[in-house]
Amino acid sequence: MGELPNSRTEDVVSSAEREEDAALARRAGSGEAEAFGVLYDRYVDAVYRYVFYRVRNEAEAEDVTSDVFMRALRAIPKYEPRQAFLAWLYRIARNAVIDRSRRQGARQQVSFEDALAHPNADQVVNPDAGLLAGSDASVVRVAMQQLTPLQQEILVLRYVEGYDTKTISKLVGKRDGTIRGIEFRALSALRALIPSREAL
Amino acid sequence: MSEMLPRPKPRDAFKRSLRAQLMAQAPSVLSPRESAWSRMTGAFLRPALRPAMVAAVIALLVFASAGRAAAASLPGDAAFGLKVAAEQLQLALALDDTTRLRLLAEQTDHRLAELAEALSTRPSAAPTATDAYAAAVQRFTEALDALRGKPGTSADKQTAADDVVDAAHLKQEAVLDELEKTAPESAQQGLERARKEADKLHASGRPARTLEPKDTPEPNETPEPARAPKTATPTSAAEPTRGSSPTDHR
Repeated sequence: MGELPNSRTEDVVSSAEREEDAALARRAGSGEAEAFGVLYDRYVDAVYRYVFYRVRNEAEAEDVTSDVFMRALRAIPKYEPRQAFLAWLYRIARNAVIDRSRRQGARQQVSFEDALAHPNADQVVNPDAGLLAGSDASVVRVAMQQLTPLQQEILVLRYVEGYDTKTISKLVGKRDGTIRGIEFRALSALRALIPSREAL
Repeated sequence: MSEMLPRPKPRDAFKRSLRAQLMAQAPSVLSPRESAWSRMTGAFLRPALRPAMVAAVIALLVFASAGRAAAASLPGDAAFGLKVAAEQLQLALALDDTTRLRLLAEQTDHRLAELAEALSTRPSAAPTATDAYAAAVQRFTEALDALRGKPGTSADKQTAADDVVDAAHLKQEAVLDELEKTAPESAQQGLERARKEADKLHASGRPARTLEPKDTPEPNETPEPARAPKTATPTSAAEPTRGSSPTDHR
């Protein structure tokens, strides 16, 4: 389980971007709506991707993304720039996802068969991708629903956002070794959950 | 899994609609709110209240020196009782429910700061500090429940309460993350307990905010409970709490 070929080893954002974000957040916090709009434009895609694999469908991903930015808008006067803005958004998104799953009660049994019967042809992954051969985003997402929230989060940060272990450890507040252990167990669980192309 | 997963993109229409909604709400959400201080100074300037305020200021000066000692105290110290009494007085003087809730949130912050202080300077005080933090969280969640259950609570008040809870939870989670990384092994159990208490701020059970009605109803959508019962901890078989296993259950 080494680093991905294109994994991002820099911090969540570069220091220049971070300063720019901090300035925008300060302006937004003091009432300048358009400054918040710029931050929204910059990070809405990242937040949506973060949420996408952790909920059941696109509609839920949109709902949670909306919730994240509404919460961020209300909380931005209290944002402290010692934390990167995107990391702060991820934290809000993590809470929003957990809140939603709590509201929905025990994790609902989503139909794995349904997901396999309606694959999304636009999102079929590279057939060389060992574990994901024959799978698409909807299949992966259904399988990911069976993982713990932290396992889901780490897989998304690593395999969707492409962050390296060190960056993820900063984002989720766990040690590097812990992250690697969680990733290993999450991948093992996914291997059991995602059928191979032959099985389909 | 040596390859990246597909990177889904949100619909452009969704992004535009959400941006418009945020921009529409931003002026009211981001407008500076009247602080407790400005309310107090406003009250002081009213002639009818002036004698009472003068008396309060004198009493404040008399107790200032004792207050300094109390301010630096930790749960379990003799001076800590004075600190708690001062906080209770503040609560009693709160002008409305939202202010009261904000004060209770500040008190949970103070208890957590004291716990951090105890862990670094006086580990023997850490269990008492953890108890004090748990009690502060409980008072906070009880006040929140009372506010939500109060008939006639306006949507603005509900939103303000949500803001207070979100801010308190985010802040305390960040502090606990930091503590977890730096505290000695012997303190981790106490921190885990504190983490569970902080999680109670999370079980707010607010209704989901949606931007626009969906074209098709979600067949699996279940009705949302008004609020998780207070006795229910944030744990469940499907979603274990942080640290309930050595690593990945969070």
